[in-house]
Amino acid sequence: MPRVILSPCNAGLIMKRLLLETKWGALSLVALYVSILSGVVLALQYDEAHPFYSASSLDLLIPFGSFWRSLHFYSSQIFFLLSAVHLVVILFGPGDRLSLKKWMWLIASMPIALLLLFTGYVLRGDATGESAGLIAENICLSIPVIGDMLNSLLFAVTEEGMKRVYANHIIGLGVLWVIFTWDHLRRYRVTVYEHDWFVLGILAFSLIFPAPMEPMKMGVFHISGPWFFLGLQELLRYMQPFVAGVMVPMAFMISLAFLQKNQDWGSKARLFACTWLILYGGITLVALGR
Amino acid sequence: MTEERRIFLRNGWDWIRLAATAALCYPLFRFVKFKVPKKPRLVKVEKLMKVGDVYLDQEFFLFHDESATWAVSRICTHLGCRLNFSEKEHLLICPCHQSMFTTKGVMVAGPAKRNLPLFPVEKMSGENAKGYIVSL
Repeated sequence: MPRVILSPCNAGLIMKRLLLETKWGALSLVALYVSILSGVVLALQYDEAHPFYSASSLDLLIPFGSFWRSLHFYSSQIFFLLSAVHLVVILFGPGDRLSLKKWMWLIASMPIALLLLFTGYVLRGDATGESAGLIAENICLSIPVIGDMLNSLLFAVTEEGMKRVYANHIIGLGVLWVIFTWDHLRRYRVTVYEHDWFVLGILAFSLIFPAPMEPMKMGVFHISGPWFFLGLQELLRYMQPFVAGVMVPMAFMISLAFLQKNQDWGSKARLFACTWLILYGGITLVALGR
Repeated sequence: MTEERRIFLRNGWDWIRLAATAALCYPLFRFVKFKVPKKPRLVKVEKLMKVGDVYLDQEFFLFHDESATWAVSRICTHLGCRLNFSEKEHLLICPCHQSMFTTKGVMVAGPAKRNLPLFPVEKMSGENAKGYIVSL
């Protein structure tokens, strides 16, 4: 029987095979199924007119409320993270390339997924959720000409409370995500029972770790936004809201549209996206250090 | 010649239609953009304050010293987060980006660039009514 020697070179190869052969997209989709199902359960008790009271009731009063909230929170996070891994692996893997139009259509689902995650944060209505909603509203309003309309469509927290954020979270953004990914998803069939250990893992994790919640406190002089917007929160200290909140993320989004190898600007776009991510990671670390 | 005239007239008519549509956009934009001023909202604070007391509402702080009672907005002028009052520094601090304001709403540290608005306060007088009315 041949002996397998685990050298750094072999470990690298094993990692590479693991990365390329794991079905990240399928896992991401399974996490999304769990997220949708747990979201439907949560919606039966959640009341957007009293977001914080409602979210804390889930944690403190309603039987298994904390479990369902954790399940929704973690499955959604896993869905987004695995989608991002899926994107990176596909980019560097040997698979077929899409046409620019199809790729741009598909990649538009990423900011929508991020907005789905973000609106979930806002709907908690706790210290971070409320502030995140207000910041998003003000960033929207800083956009010339269309800012007011965009805010009315997406947030309008000051005027309408959580009504529109909730409508977008449970219907609008979900429908948009499906529209952008439909052509991609209809080619693959993912069944949950093929990934039962993965689902069990998410269930176990949600049973052990409660989803975060930060009640409003009198003497709190520092709050941190959601992990994926920590860098943006830090940038907003130094730059105009329109620059930090719109132009900087938009530059990354545009580079995503040209990432594929078969495109003229592919290598430059990949270099830009990597540099952007490294810088954003650095700024996120600065924010974490505060 | 007649053909050219016809084309000219047809193009001219198209331009007039375009100009009319553009002209109609003006009243539409003006109409949509206008914001009806909000009716002032009156908030009752049913508590008589002593000198140095601070009352905290969702939307304002109410301060009282020897000479006056005043209400200052709790909404940060940078990005709208809700401010908290630091007793130690006697400042209003934004938890999102740490902008600082004096208790009179004057900005002392950014990234906020504007002062906080002050709201009119009226003292309630009467047998059964003790406290203040803040107009937001």
